[in-house]
Formats: sequence, structure tokens, C-alpha cells
Amino acid sequence: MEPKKLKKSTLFKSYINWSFFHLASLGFERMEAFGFLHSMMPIIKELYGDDKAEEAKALKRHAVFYNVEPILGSVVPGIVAALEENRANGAVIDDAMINGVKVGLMGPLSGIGDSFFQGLMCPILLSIGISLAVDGSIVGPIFYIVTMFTFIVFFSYFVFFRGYKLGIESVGLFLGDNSKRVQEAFTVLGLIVTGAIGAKFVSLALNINILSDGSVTVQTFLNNLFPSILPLILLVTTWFLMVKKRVKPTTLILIYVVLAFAGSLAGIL
Amino acid sequence: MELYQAILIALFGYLAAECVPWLMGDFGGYYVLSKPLASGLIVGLILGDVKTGVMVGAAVQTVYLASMSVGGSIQTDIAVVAYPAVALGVVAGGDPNVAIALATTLGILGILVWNTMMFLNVFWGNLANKAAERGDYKGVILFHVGGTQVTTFLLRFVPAFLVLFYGASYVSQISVYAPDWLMHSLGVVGGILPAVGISMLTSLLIKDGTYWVYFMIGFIAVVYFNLTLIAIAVIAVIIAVITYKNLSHSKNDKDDSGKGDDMEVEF
Repeated sequence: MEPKKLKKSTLFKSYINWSFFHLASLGFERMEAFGFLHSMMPIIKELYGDDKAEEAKALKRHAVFYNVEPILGSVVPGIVAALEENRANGAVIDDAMINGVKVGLMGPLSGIGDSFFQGLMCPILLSIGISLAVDGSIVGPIFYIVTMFTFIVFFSYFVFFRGYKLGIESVGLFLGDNSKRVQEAFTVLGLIVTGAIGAKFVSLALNINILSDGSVTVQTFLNNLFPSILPLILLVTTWFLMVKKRVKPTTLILIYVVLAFAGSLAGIL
Repeated sequence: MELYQAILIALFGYLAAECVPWLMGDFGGYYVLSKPLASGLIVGLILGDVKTGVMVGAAVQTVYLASMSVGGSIQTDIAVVAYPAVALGVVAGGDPNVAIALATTLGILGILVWNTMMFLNVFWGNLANKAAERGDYKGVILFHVGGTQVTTFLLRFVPAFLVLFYGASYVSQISVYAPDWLMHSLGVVGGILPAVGISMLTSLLIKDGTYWVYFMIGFIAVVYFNLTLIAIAVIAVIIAVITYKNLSHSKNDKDDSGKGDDMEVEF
């Protein structure tokens, strides 16, 4: 059988879907999951379109928590497109591996992307724009709009296709004897970053006083015991309920929303 | 302000906001047109006074030079500042202080809008997920783009229009009707719900209980050592390379690929 090779037009559609819809459905639960899935849809259609079961599995594979700074983060759909292409051609690349790559990349890329674009590019170009806008000259805003937008579009397009090339070139790593070791390494990488993201994103604190004047609270006691112990318990419990008790995420969300509102109204959260 | 001007400015307040895809997502919206410097030009064009618009925009921009949105949480909803606040500053005779003062009041409303959107999108996301499970491409787009944008449009356009057309005093009433308990509860929900999303990742990556040690490395690096994600990623790469080197080829042959089967989970 002829190995599958993604058409350039399919990759371009993937880039367009990412560049427009990366944040369209940003939500507390899965953040950019469906933005990423949207960018994978043309890829999945071309690679697995003739096998409905594989197609649905692939769509589901990318409908999980994902969150990245979107400009530099354009490199990830490119890399994952290359991984999917190889998977469709029979390479042993499992769901944990693909999500390990995605998660492993999103932390550092967001850190670098946010400090570069929001922390450096925007303030510098804005400062130049402001100085050009004295006396209400339209040169200032036009300078900012044109330079910033052009840079973002070219940069994100470049890193997307660079990511695809990188994914194709490094795929030898994932094949043969090596594949189990590489998958294990990516699982480890993904889990460490997931732990860090869990600590940064999940927050839960009890608002219960031990002494009525508020000088000693349950939360200070818990912080001394282990900082962020409640978020940790919440993460482990959620995993336990989902994996061991097979509670659906939708059910969990409803329970959590009710508990959060109840706890908040009762004044203990 | 004329009706059509209020509609147009409120419309831009929606289009340029974060999480609205039509101007190339954040690329044209959040990073470009939601900056007060850029909005000053557009507001000026709509109100027929470009010069004043640009001057107010530039003055407001100096206050928000380093405003950032990191990892889905915001300090100020910059689109609210950029459109309704700058526009009212222009109408008030080009006084940037009016816009800056308004920005603080409207910013609180903006954060309520933002948290409500993040909350509603959880439900749209679950519908999109059901569609993905069926292999239904159109269904995913219907909920991930269509559904979310209807609610986001209503959340952003309506308050912006009311502020512009009826004046800010009228709308500051809304923050009275949206009391502290609602703001606080949405904040609590926002802290808890990411646990569900993150547990989808752990359920994919954790093959047996011992894998929690890797999760704990990342968790402790944040809560005890307060390291940045970049630093943690470097440590994670080092540990991953060590893991790779320590796995002998012979062990791989014994490694049964069906090992993780009982851990499969239904999303």
C-alpha cells in the first residue's frame, strides 16, 4: 500500500483552522481542546476518512485539555500532523504518546511565547506607535496594526510548517525497537508538566476559622502541612472517579459546579 | 452618540475580544485590534473624529502597555477598555482620564463577562465532545464555533451597547445586580473545573499507580519551589532522557502493550 502523505492544501487548512479558531471555545474545563481538534480535523479526514472507527477515535484523541500561547504554539499542530501521518502509515504511536508530546510542549512554549509576544513585542511596538501618534496622527495606530499583525501571521505560518517538517524528520526516533523507550520518555515528560499545570491551574481553599477572630484558619493549617494539598486531593480524586469508577466528565462537572456554588454560598469555599 | 455608532463600536468590542475567531482569533483581535492604540483609530473613524480618537487611544494605551493575559486568566478585559471606554472618552471631549476612570469600573464587568464565558463554554465543549465521539465534524464546529460565539456575542455586545447608548452610569447598576456571591462562586468554579480537564491527561498518561511520582515532581516544583513552567520543562526533559537511557532493549521485549487496557476511560 502506498504510504499516506498529507497534501500541502490539507496542512494549509489545518493552519487556517488553528489561526482563526484556537480560542473560539476556551472554557474552564478543557481550555483550547477544541481549537486544537479543529486544526486536526482536515488532517484526520484525509488520513482516516476511509475508516469511520479510526476517524472517531482520532477526533476523540484530540478533544482533551490543551492550553498554549497560540502564536508560537502554532508549531504544535504541525508536529502532531506529522505524528498522525506516521501513525496512519502503521507506526506505533499511541494516544498517550501523542498527548505526551502535546502536553510536554505546551508548558515551555507558553512560557516563551507569552514573555516574547506579550512581554516584549507588544510593549515595544506599542511604544513606537504611541510616539508616532502624537497630535492624533493615524501613522501611530497604523504602524502598530501593520507591523504586529504581519509579524504574527508570518511567524505562526512559518513555525507551523517548520513543526510539520520537524515531526517528519524526527519520526525515525519513534519507530522500531526504540518506540517503547521514546513513548515512555514522553509519558514521563508529559506527566511532570501535567503535575506543574495542575498545581498552577487548580485552586481550592477552605474558608473556615478555627479561632473565631480569623487569626487561625483551617487553610493556614493545611498550608503548613502541604501547600496546595486540597487541589492535589481534588486532582487525585477526579482521576480516581474517572478511571476507576468510570464517572463521566460531564457528571463530574455538574457535581463540582453544584458543590462549588453550595460551598461558596455557605461561606466555606 | 447615534444608534448606528453605538452598534458599530459595540460590534468591534465583540470582534476584537479574546476568544472571538473572526479577525483571525487572537492574531488580529487580542494582539492587535484590542489594543487601545488601535481601537482609537477605529472608534475615531466611527465617531467621525479620527484625531481625537487616536489621541485618546494612545493616552489610554500608556496605562495598559504591559497588560497581559496568561493561561486563560485575565486581570483586565482589554477589549472592554479598548472600545466602550475609549469611545466614551472621545465623546466626553477627548479626555483620556474619562476613559481610564471608566476602564476600572468596566473592567470589573469585563471579568464577570470573561468568567461567565469560560463557564458557558464548558457546556458547549461537552456538546462538541459528544459530536467528536460520533465522528461528526459538522457537530464539533456547530458547538465549538457556533454555540460559543452566540453566547460570547450576547455577553459582549449587549453590555457594551448599553454602556455606549445609555451611558456608563446606567450600566454600573449591573455590577450591583451581579453581586459578590456570583463573582465569588464563578471564581471557585474556575479553580475546580480545570481538575476535570487535567484528569483526562493523567488518565491517558498514568499507566499504573507508580506513575504518580512523575506527576508529583511537577506539582511539588510549583507548590514548594515556585518554579516557572520553562524551568520545570527543562527538568522534565532531563528526567525523560534519563528514563530513556535506563530502559534497556531487553525490557522492551517483555513489556506487554496491552498493559494499559484496564485503564481506558470514557470521556
